[in-house]
Amino acid sequence: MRVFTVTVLLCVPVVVVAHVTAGGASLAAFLAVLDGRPVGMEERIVWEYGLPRLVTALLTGAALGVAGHLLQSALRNPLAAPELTAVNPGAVLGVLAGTVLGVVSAGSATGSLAAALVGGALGGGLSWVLALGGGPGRVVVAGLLGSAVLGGLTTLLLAYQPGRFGNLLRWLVGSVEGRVWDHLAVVGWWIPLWIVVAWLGSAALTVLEGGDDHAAALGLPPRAARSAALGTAVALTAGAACLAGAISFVGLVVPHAARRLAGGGFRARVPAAALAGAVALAGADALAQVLTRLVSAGSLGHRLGLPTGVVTALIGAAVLAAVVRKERLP
Amino acid sequence: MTLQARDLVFDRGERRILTGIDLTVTSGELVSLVGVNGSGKSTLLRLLAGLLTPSRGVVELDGRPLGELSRRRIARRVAVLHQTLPPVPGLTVRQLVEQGRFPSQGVLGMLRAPGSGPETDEALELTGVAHLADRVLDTLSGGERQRARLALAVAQRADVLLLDEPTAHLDVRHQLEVLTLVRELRAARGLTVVTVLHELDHAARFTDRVVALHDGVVHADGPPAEVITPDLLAEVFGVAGRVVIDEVHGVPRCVLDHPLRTGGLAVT
Repeated sequence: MRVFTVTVLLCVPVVVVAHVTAGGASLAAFLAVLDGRPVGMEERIVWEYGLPRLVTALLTGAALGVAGHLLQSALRNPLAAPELTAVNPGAVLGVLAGTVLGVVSAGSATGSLAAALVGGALGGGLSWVLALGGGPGRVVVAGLLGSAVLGGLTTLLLAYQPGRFGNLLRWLVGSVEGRVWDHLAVVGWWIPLWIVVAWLGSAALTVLEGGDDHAAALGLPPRAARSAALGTAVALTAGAACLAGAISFVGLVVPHAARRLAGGGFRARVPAAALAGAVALAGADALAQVLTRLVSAGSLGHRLGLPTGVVTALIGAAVLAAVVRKERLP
Repeated sequence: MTLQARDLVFDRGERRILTGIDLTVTSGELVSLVGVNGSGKSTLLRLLAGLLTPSRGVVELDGRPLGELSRRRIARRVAVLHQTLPPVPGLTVRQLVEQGRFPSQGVLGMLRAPGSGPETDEALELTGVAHLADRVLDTLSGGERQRARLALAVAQRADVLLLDEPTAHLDVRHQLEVLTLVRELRAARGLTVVTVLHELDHAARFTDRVVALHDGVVHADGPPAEVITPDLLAEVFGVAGRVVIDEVHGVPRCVLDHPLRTGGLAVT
């Protein structure tokens, strides 16, 4: 626990500074904004683009970290994660389908959130039905299968109305670029709310980790508890998907790191997953910004905004391979 | 405290597992359930714990059907130790034992409680695992792990302890340790214990009453010396054997000779 506290205390400011400076702003401008003095052009850019982008990365990372923790604990599966149980692809498809069908008006935060919730629940439901009664390996295969189907439908929608979603492509890959305070108006409280709900359920989740018999013997109805945990994971993933699209691997990798840092003590696990997720995604986005500047410098000024989702996918894939190898999963 | 099963029937699909079970366990008793694999011992234990719903009949705790009580209320009175606990990475002994407070404190109370309370510390002491409190469960020997799990049940502060083969997968020394601890806990906390046991000698030595199940019905029920007989060995276990009296402990002990053969096949 002490190691965890120290690590987080060190990591958070480092990542925040890295994120701000990676975006090209000076630390002085950032401090001026925090101090409530956004006077010059640089400060205004930090206030209107840099800071919302940072907050989006922190919130999305926290949401995905906690969602992954809930899924891994409730399903007792180290490979369960929003993107590997089709929850995240479902949420993305939900938003897109809602927009195409005209149910969700473009730019409506509440409408997008509702569509992401429905999509996430359907995606998760699909993969859980496919995986029924299987071990960790089968859950992953079912999740990938579900994700492939939902990804296919997403592509179908994009092909059906090409041009309409041009500006959504970056969001589909997973990116926090271009987020402004308006985007955070609804999801800005939605994600913290559900993180608190997850934390309040920490004791029940720990009991559930011991298996259904263990939970029932301690007076916890396992099915109801698992449904509540999965519902909370869907709510968090929907929030994350609304903000940043299909960010992958954060929900898978972060809970493992958080568990290492926080140990088995249940009270620290949700805060650990939230903080580790926030730090991981803000760090990945800082890296994406640095890479973007490097690539732009070498390509005659053509600016390619490298989506954060690409960075998390590249790092996460390597970690996933390591987890599978280490845990010798069936 | 009285735990009573009346005319209990349990079907799994088309198959009848238990038929017309009547069983009354009163305060402070230490009862063993014996029988061959598939005789319905574990199913009966789960019915007594309220973890399964009987197809017919009723299980009552102090006259109230378990079906009328919430899971948490049952868990405050009845602690269950299943055969195995799935591995939980990184879980320490103290963290496991702390979970015993869940039925009393609930989801929010557990969060409010500052670390482990007096009940947890006392349970760790009583079961002799206080020195292992901060060890990760997966790193303990089978016997130590089983004692830690008994500590969880003690921390629950229930009146009734239901054990499903507490000595499974343990070597002889740890088997004796665990059963001795169960007896000590019964004496120290006035617990009522019902335990599924495979070894008849353990049932004779450590319990006051033996209930032998055969094909889902109670074949015999009484003190070990009355129940454990050559006839029981033959009829319930399909084994020819003798029963001698262990002079040191004054309890029956089985000397098994050979499996009885029916229709050319050895009965196992």
